[in-house]
Amino acid sequence: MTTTVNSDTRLHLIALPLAVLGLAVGIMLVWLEPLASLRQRPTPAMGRSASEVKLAAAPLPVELTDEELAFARTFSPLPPPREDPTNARSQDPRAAALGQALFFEKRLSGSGALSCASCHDPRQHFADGKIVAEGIGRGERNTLTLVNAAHHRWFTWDGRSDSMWAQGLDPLEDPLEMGGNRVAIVRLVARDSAYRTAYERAFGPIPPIDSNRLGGPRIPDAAKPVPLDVDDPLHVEWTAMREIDRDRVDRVFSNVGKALAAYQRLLVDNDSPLDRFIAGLAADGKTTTAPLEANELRGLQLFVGKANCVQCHHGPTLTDGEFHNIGVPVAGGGLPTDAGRYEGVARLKRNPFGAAGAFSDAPESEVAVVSQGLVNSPEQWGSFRTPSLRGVANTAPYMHAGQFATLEDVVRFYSTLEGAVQLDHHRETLLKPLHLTEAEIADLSAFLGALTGTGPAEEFCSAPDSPLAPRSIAR
Amino acid sequence: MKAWVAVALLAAIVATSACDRAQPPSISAATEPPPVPVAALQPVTASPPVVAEPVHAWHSTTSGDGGFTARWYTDPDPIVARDPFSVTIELFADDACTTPLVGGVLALDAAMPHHGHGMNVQPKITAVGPGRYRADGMLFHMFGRWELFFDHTTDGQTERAQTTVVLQAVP
Amino acid sequence: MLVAVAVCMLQLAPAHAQAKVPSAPTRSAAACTIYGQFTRQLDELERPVSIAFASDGRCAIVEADARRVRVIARDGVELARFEGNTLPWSLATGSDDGAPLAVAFGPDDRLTLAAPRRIATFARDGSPWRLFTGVASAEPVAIAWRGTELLVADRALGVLVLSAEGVERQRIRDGLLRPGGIAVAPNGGFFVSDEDRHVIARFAPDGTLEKTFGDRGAFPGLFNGPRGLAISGDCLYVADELNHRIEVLSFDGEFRGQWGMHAVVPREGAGKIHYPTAIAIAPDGSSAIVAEPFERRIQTFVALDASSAAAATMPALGGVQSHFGASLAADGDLLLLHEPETASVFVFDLRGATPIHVTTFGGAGAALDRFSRIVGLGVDAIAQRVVSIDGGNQRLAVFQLARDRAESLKMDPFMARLVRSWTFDAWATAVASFSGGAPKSTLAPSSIARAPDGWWIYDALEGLIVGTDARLAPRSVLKTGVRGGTSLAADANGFAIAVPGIGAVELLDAAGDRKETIRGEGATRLIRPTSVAYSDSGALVITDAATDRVLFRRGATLSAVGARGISDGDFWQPDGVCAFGGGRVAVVDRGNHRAQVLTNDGAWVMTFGLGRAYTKPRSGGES
Repeated sequence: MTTTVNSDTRLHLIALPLAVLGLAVGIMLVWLEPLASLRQRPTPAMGRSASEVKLAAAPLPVELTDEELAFARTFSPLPPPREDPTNARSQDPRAAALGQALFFEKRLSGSGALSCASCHDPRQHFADGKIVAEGIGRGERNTLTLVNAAHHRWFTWDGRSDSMWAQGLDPLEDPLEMGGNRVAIVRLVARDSAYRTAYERAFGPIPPIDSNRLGGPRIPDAAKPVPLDVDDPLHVEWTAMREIDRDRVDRVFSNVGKALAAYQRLLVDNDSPLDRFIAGLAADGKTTTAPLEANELRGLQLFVGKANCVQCHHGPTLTDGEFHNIGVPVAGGGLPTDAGRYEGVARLKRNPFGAAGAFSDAPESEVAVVSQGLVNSPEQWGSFRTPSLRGVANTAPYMHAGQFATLEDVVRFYSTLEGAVQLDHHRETLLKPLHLTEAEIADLSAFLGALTGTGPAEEFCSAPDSPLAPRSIAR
Repeated sequence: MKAWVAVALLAAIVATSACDRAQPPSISAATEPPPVPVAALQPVTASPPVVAEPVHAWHSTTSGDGGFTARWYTDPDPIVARDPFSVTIELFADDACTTPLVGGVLALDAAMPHHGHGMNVQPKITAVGPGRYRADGMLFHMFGRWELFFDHTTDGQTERAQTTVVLQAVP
Repeated sequence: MLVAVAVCMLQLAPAHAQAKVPSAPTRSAAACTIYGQFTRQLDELERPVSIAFASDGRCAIVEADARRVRVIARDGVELARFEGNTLPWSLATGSDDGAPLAVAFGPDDRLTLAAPRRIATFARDGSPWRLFTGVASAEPVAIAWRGTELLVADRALGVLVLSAEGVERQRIRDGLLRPGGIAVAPNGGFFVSDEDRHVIARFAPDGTLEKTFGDRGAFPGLFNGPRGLAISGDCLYVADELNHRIEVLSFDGEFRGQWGMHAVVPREGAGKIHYPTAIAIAPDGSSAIVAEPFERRIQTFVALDASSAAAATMPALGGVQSHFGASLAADGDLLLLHEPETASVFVFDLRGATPIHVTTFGGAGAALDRFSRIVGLGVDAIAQRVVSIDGGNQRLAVFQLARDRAESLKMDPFMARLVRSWTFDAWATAVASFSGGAPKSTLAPSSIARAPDGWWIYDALEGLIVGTDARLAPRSVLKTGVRGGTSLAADANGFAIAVPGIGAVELLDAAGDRKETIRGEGATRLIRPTSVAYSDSGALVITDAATDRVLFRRGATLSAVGARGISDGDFWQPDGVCAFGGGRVAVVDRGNHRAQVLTNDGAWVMTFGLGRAYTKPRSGGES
């Protein structure tokens, strides 16, 4: 039989390799690209990457009791953050795109050298790895991570804001943080055509605020209220403005906060080894497709048992979201000076930006009612918000003034309460020393290391090409 | 021939599906809730839909001096720790709950006596009928045993009815 | 005598090197001198309630229990003394009535004294006293000169501004509940401490309120029962009594430092401060004097070298201490005590050999089931109910104890439940309408005693004894005319009221009419009787905080037991007494942070506190 090479055969000779090539490329794009991007992402300090996920069910290295399992199941999965009715744009991808661009925008700061990302660095789990924040000046508090922050009810260490959009405005104007002012920020958004377009698509037209317009209202280049220093030139300029202009500036400014909040809502980390462990857990709790290490499981047992961390660190966010004074030692000794929640509540109640204020999209909502009903009592002095433990391995140093360098130091403090500040010897304290052994301290620290996942999606971790690119909604 | 076309088509399909930029696998399959459809306008002539009155779990407790009895239900029930909840209350001057207690002012408060702290918020109380009130913005911020207080004040004298509410850490 | 005093002073305990005196000025801002370095102390003063410096460094000390004022030179030599007949008002009226309560040096360093309703000034040039009577202040706590005007802080009225002629020019209240001290700022404005609101109020020279700062607590910038004030430079010094410290702040209330620490051993001074109520700073800023009338001493301090300041945490004394306050009550198998620092009530079960602490309730706060300043307690063991009088929140309250006697004894934090609460105002209205539409007056209930099927409540302002039912609703009103009493006792025949301000116990019949005034004499002389109770055997028991004795009156005979000290059967500032059951009485031994139980004859049988009790005598004291 003679084999003839004809046009059909030539076609086959070209088409076949092309088809196989196409198939191979397709396979690579679908399945290997995510792994490639994983390699670019910083690996968690103590977590494990997705490639180590075992898919076969195996018995747990350490057997957990029913109660321990029940507790553990409450830690996962992490649902999406609750709705924020006070920010109508919190799930709007256009607002999030604008917010992401602004997050990396250095011109928001007074010096032009700092953006939100300077202290909330995506490469450091959206914190900064420093003892206290260092913006324009040196602050007094440790920088908190923004990952999963949208789950909180009260924001920052002292709960001075009840909504994420309100909280984001604070550092923009704080002289020790970014040192900006709202009029300059609003001007920037209004004058930059990309920002303006993105803003107006999400929030509607920007009211007339450009003082260069002929016949337009007189608005200074820079101004903001500084209630604690009425002689500050920026405050003088602010009070000299017409009320309607101040209102317009505040309106746009609050929307800047809402855009930033929409972006921050996308910073989700919900696939830690603990999450995979729970997801892979059989109904009877005896086997899992993604076991934790033995020391991590022993740490979990301590966490819900002898160490009783779960008293304040519970639920999928591993925090009760409330405020406690656990007597953390003062850096450098001496008396504590940070009033924490006691001043936080007072600040919250006088902040025009918030759930119950004029710029809230739901001033009658339950959030607003709770906010307005907050009690301000001296028992709150020196109490700070329980941080979420998700991602905790990546956010050293720890506590409200960065007093503890490592997780082991933190666990050791809870174990001994050495150096704890207790000024009033008549009151009982919330904590009793745990008296953990060295092995227990190591196990508990190991468990805390299993709470970090692969971090927010890569696309949210850098400045976007344009504030107009739509962002997908995170799961 | 057809086989190669099929393979090529398959490759094409696979290649285009890659352009969706699939996310890395995520074990916690939390999905965005589906968008709520906008309710269609009802024609005026349609009869209003019959909505069943939601069934509430009413509780009751009598004040320490026996001066009044409070009936109430919470929303949600059971109360979820760390989430705001509301309470609907009816006050009666008698144990049999036949005579509404009209007048005076009602306040709600709560505490965890073994932890030595109270509730961090003061609810907003609205009168919604004779002897009927609604408290909004309640918040139990910790698990464990709470004592819930119904304080009825007339002319500077307050009488309290009290009940125990336990929030379980593990459902 | 003067030489003896001088020698005494020079031989006083030498300066304790490096007594732990914590302070830590915060942030930047102007530094304030922290007088944390102890130099010496003067003991055995009879309740030194007020101290003041003259411009040349002389200082004056008022000892209220001894009704004495001393003027002492810088080197400790006593320059002058006024007591008894030589007190200016005694000179004027010929009788020794009214203890001096406050002192200040005025223009030309004229010594100025305040007593109830009287002000006296004494010029240096030897001209006699000028005495102003009819001053409205019945309970002056502190006075301060401002140019040619005298400011008087009165416990009940607020601040009175008097001219140099003693004429009242202005009266300022502005929300002040219980003034504890006053200091004048260089600009003519002034600060007033408020013991019940735990704040300092700052007033402008014209008397308008400018700012209020502080809140109740132990942290920097907070107070617990702030009392005497002093100003030096730009700094405000506060005798923060229940926090056992001197706190230093700016004129805006910003924390600048503190010193002092609670004593670990009874009577310990040497820089440890127990209950400070007055402070004075030398005009040249070289030293500060802190008065602790409770400890019967003053301590002198000089500036602390900042480099030697230690971390300022209080010693962790392992949980709750038995800092009992002046009210206690017992009935059947229940006993109540309270603690002013935390405004909490302790309930003890008496069915065992020693009292067992079974619950604590209350705590400081404004909520209806919390307290500010407890002044009276009562307990009914059959109904298992507690009644309280809260002078700071101005409320009367009834609590139910959910206690099942069949269960074994255990601590139960949920035992006490508030049942009913009256504001003082609502109660006064009820009393007025019970009295047949009489105009409502301000009442200040201050003590409570058991009545058949109810209670007797004594009001110190109007001198009423109101009989109430179990819910505290008035059933009878007796006008006694006895004002200013601090403790009420009742039996089948009538009442007894302790009136420490006049050093007497008034006996009344069942209708509330005066029968007899007990003053004692000689060894049983009453100086400052603080509490009264009737024992099982019908004896009237009286505690005297000035003499540290417990007195028993049977028939017409008055006998005394106890002595000043820390051993069993000794007392230091006893206050609060009640019948204990089994023919015994319980006495709050405040200064020794404990309670003691005596037989009806005064023999010691037991000492107890929270979690500790013993019935065999020990040497030394329990704290």
